Amino acid sequence: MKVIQLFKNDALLIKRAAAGNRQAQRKIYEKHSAKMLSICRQYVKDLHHAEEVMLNGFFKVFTHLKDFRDEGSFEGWMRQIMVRESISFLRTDKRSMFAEDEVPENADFSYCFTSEFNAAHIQKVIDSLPEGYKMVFLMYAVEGYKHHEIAKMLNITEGTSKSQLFKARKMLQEKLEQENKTEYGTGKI
Amino acid sequence: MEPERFENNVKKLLEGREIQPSAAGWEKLEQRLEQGRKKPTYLLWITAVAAVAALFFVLGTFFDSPFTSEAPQVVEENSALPVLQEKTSEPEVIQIAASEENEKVEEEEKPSAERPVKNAIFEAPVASVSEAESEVASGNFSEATEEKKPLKEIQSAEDNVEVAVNENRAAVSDNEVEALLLLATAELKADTTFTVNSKDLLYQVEYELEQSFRQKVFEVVKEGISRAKTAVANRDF
Repeated sequence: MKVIQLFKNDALLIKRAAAGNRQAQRKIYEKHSAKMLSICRQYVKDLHHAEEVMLNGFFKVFTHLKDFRDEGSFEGWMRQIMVRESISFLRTDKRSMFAEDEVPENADFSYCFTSEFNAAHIQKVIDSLPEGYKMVFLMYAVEGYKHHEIAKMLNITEGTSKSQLFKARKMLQEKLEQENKTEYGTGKI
Repeated sequence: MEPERFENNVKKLLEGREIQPSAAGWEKLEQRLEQGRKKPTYLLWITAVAAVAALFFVLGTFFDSPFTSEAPQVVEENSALPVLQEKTSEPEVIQIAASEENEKVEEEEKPSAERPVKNAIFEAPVASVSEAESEVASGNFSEATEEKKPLKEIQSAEDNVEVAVNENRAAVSDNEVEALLLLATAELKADTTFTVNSKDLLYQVEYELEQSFRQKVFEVVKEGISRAKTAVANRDF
């Protein structure tokens, strides 16, 4: 027997999920959970905690689904919620430290990045960064937030955000260079 | 340029990454959603506020105007009035005492069924009172002339009457008591204006009990507040 697809498009799915339809909510969860867990995992080192954060994020998604407007993409809206939830988790965990430093102008970066690096390896390197560096780097580089947005979300100054990004970049450069020397040899991209 | 290229690569790698959550993930989420549906937080708040409001309402109605009728009212009475009342009431006892001997005689003379002991008492007073008064007060002491007499005389007469009553009190027999009771019953029956409303009586008793209970509750509350104030002032909490 051919399974009839109940929800043909995302808009209808979202509408029904917002009305509390559990089946529609499950469809959304199954569709996006893997990607959302990946986002949470970027910020939260422990996978179990990351999954907990993701579930909290989905809970907020489903309970505030009526607030979602079709101005942006649904996935983007969910990503924002997941990032905020991850930041909230790290804040409650009190592991993020933001030290204010001067940002040197025209700092030179030459990353050693081989094509053999995969996502898991990059994640490992990012995990080794201090929480403050990691958060700013991920928000700036991966999520595309501006410094003033990061400053507002993390309740820090713009200068601190820039400083944290600079330090994160520098630390990443050092770590990748070190790994290149030991494992992959040198290779710039 | 270098950082941007690196960050773009990182972004591509991380964005393309997917991690499958555990199988129990959806069940957990569904459970939370069910709990959230059953007890939304705002409903809890509304319930709590309603409960507090109801409590205040009940307390407000229960302790309505607590300070208006708490204290017992003091009514000033004319000091001369009790003396007069005593005067009017005491002679009856004196009558009984004085007519004791007469009653005994009458009893010996076999009282009729229609006119029991009560009648003897009804009939006796006028003479016996005057006798008792003449014996005790040694003068013309009567209600009609009482107001005209000087205060000292009245006082001395009172004292004498009391002494006489105390002397004769021990001599009051059971028959006399019964006769008095019969007399009082007959008077009450005869007096149509005197009625006892049971409901009013009950309300009065309940009101008095309620007043005392309120007073106790307020005393406890006052004590608690004063203790809390002291504790806050001393930072002893």
